[in-house]
Amino acid sequence: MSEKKNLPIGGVITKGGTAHEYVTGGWRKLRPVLDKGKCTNCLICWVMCPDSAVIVEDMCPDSAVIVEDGKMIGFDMEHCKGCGICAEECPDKVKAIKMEEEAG
Amino acid sequence: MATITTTKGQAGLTGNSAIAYAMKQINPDVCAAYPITPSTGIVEEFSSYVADGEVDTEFVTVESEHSAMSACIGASAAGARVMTATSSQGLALMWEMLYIASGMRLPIVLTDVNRALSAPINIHCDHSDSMGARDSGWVQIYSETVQEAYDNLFQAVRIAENENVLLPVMVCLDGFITSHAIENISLIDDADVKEFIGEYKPEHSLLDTDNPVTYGAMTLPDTYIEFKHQQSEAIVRAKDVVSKIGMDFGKKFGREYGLMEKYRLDDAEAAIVILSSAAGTTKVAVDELRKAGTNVGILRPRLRPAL
Repeated sequence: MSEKKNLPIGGVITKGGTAHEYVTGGWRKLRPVLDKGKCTNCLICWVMCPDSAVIVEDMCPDSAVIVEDGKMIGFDMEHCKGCGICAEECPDKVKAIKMEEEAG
Repeated sequence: MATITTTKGQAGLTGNSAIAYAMKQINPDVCAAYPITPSTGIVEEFSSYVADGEVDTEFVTVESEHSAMSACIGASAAGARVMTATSSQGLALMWEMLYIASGMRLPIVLTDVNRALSAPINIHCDHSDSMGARDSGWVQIYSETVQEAYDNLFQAVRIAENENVLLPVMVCLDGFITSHAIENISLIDDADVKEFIGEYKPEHSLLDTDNPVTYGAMTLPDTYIEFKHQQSEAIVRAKDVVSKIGMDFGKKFGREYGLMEKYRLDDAEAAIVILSSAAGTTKVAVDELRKAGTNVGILRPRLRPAL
């Protein structure tokens, strides 16, 4: 409670980039599963991800699609809400991302 | 343009002219307003001061009162000293944004020239407009006379920006009765106004890109109540601040203001609690009744909500 009483006046967030600290992965019903064998690393998924959950290393830290050396390596499951936009936008000739039911 | 002629520091002004003149003396950074009867004169005269280069204010013309208050909120979050004026339906249209101004703790000063709400449409005074905003987290100060409305505006700036308050403040005066009636009032020198209100030093500014901040972020039930509690504590503290600033104003300019005015109340057997200009008429009635041997008095609150 004492910490709450020190909350900034008027709910002002006094620094930038704090949205990343808010974890939204718990909202997910479907999870994206990447088939690396099919993926061409076009990074359309990274561009389209609304939660910035596609991770591209050394690129935008707020993306939830994980990319390393310009290559798609996976998803930031702490932020991915399971919307499926990445699977939808993955080009028709590739279709490297499938949405699967979360267990339980 | 509006020319104010003074004799020994006194001028005959309507409530609206006095408020516009006080705004000119305060010289706010931003004013966003949409004129509405009976407060139109304030916005008209103040926009003349802007057009004539007598103030440094950025005057934002908008398409509605909702937009006026929205622009005030944006400007205030950017760190500006912000003022506006409205009445009746205009205040009602601002309603959504009033809560955002107070919730974000933005020290905007608004003059509400009290006017009845429709229907039936009525351009004249009652207090249903500002009473509808009484619990919106704004501090409200009600003025009996043109002089008090003029004096209240300077105090409102100090109250709103006080670090123990940081809430928007509404100065209320009665539509037509006070806004359009000419009263001989004492004006304060520009330099004294400047000294009394001081410089506004906001803690944050949206324009400060080296220290980025977010206004209006979402909160969930665990913290929402904490912010509402902060606001509630601030409005309780406003009581002492209003009182102290009213006394300070009295020391400097000879007209002291308290949380409420007592008129022949101490030995009264019956009393009336009354706001704003009606208190003036009632004082005459009290004097007449006392002459006839009935001990009556008046309690006139200045501050709402009552704490």
